[in-house]
Amino acid sequence: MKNRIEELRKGMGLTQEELANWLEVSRQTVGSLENGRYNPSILLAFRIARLFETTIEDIFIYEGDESSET
Amino acid sequence: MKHKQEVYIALLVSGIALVYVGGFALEGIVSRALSGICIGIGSGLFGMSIANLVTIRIMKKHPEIERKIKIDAKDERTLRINNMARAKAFAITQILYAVLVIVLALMGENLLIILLVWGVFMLGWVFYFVYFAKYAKEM
Repeated sequence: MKNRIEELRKGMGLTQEELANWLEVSRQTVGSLENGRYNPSILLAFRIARLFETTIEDIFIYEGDESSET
Repeated sequence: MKHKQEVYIALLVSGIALVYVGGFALEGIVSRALSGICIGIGSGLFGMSIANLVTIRIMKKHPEIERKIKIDAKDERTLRINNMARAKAFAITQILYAVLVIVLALMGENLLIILLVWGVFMLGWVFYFVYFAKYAKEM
């Protein structure tokens, strides 16, 4: 699943470390989210959407069935 | 944090007491094996308590490290990776147990040993089905 986290983060002038602190996750998690290697839980997705003051659909781009486990 | 510190101090004292009892107080009164067990458990408690007390002290001095450790412990990606790694390790361990039972049987090992290993193998699956049913009810 693609997402706009990196774009939105840079738009707010935040580093990965700062975003991780806001979301209370590790910096590695932010990196993995931005690379699309890791899909967040619905709770984390809501926290991300709230932080960027937008909707989940605006951040995460659903591209149909994905075979990935994460 | 304060409560945790008190627990570790109590465990530290218990550890020292166990080592003393095992090494000196029980000398000649009970078997060497029991004395050894006391020293072993006491040393373990002592080491674990010291390590945790040092960690608590460092975290008190550096609250940012404490926050980072707490975040890392709750990090959902880390937890998911941990669960996936454990699941894989369980699957591999069960295969190894099955292979071990066959190898022991082919080696003509004592039936009791083979049954013991087979029992541990089966116990793993019993736990799996018990927890599967438990979580299936909860979700």
